[in-house]
Amino acid sequence: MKKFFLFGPLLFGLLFTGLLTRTNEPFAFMMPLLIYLGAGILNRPDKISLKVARSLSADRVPLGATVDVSLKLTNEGPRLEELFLEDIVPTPIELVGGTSDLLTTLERGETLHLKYSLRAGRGYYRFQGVNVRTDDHLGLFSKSKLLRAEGRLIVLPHSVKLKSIRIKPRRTRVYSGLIPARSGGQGIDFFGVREHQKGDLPRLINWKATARHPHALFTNEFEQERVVDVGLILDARQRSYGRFNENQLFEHAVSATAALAESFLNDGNRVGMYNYGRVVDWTFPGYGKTQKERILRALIGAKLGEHMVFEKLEYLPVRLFPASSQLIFISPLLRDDKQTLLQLRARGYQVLVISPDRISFEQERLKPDPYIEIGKRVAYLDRVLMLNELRQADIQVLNWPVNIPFHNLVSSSLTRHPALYAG
Amino acid sequence: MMMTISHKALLVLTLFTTCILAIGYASTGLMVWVILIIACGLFWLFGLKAGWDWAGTTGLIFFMAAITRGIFLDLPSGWLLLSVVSALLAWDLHQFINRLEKAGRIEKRSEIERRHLKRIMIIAGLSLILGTVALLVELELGFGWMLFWGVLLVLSLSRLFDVLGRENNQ
Repeated sequence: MKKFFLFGPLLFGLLFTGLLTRTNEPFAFMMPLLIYLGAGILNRPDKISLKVARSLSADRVPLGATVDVSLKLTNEGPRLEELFLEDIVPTPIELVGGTSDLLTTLERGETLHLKYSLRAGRGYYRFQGVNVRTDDHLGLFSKSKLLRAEGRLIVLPHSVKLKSIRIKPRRTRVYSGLIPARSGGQGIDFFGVREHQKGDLPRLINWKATARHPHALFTNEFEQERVVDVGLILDARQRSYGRFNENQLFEHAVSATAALAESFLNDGNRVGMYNYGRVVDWTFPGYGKTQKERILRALIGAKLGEHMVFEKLEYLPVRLFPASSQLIFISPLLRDDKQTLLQLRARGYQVLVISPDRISFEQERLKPDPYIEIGKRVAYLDRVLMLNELRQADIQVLNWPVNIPFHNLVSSSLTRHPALYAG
Repeated sequence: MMMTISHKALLVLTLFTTCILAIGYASTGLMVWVILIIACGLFWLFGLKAGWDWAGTTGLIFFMAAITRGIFLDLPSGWLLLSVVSALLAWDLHQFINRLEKAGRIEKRSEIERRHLKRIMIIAGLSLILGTVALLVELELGFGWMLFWGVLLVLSLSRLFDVLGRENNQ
């Protein structure tokens, strides 16, 4: 209820008393109320004429970085006796320094600066404006307005630099790169020996093989290195991550995806990404920094969710990925995913599974209990069995306890030749 | 709770109103009302400390009721006028303090407080002067004229509140 409405019953009560008693006292006691009301009316706020400009210290930051927001307000109208302003901060941003609201008084032509610092989770944030309210000094009348002061903030997922990951899909692209192409030509790794042809460099002659065949010369051949198609599939199904601190585990999966995308794109490969969960989010394959930007933007908006159609992995649109390319599936894994992964392998895709260990992640957050310990052991055995079945089908599997930094795990496990990798 | 000048002024005004009314009612022998008035004053101060926004409004309404009752009991008019002014200013200061405390950060706090106190002192001065003049002037009006002016006042105030309410919502 507005304050001045209180005066109505008080004034009418005194008026009624005056009519009843027929004395001048009640009318005299109405004077202070009427003067107070009159003072409020005379000094009630005029229209708000404020000019506002917003600036951010950075509009694109990595996860965990602090951003300074600065608002500059100039009063182009009459004096504002009590000015309350509140910057509309998108949720769920955390303020780490200063406040996003302020009460002050502002003279005509005066400029005011409001500064505060914030930190946000991964995502895209849009600042709309500032709510301002001006009151007269008695607080009887107020005027409010939303001042538009747009700004945007992009918080990128956490990404680490990875060493070159050794993969070997069956099919490569025509451009030279770092992935062995299973065909002879120019390269570093020895591939085989062939008959010498006109134009071959003398230093490439394999003298040992030539010695065994006196009438022919043999030349060393090396394995060509080319770029490949890599398909990253990020599992964003809610049920894969459980209901217990699921967002934290998902953030690990997102940061792993970002790191992998960056690593493969830096090596010149063609990378596409599929975010499989609540919605169909497909980033068409591409090269270079532009593609990295596209993938990062897709990861910024990645959220856990559920959809009846995408509940199981069997509806993964495999045809989006080039035949015989490398697929990397980032997921804690569910029991029914095994079949789909085996089918992908059977179709000729080279599959690498990076699986954040959900069991150890949840167990760390539970109180020690003998029943939980038994449950953990059973779940762990089930998981080990599933991972072994995948490995037996020639699927690379990297079990990732998330307390181990991802780049450490990758450098110790995935930078060797796939054939040498024992999981 | 930090005691600013507004807090101190509110404390003084609340105690002043309580004392004046209590003394006035004590002189008539109505001890029940004396106890109620003292209880209301203490409740108001407790409400301020507890951060109850509605304590000031409740206190003002009760004190105004006590003042109106005092008219019927022929309590000294000057004292009742002083009570009205001090109760009104105490309520205003309570609302002002609430507004300041709800704001996260305040710049130029002392300037805002100073201007507010200056304004209410002007209001207090004018109220006392005009109120005293109204008490001293004796006008003989028939019931009909009083009813006419009363109805006119009611209609004017209703219209004013309606206009101000719409203006405030824009």
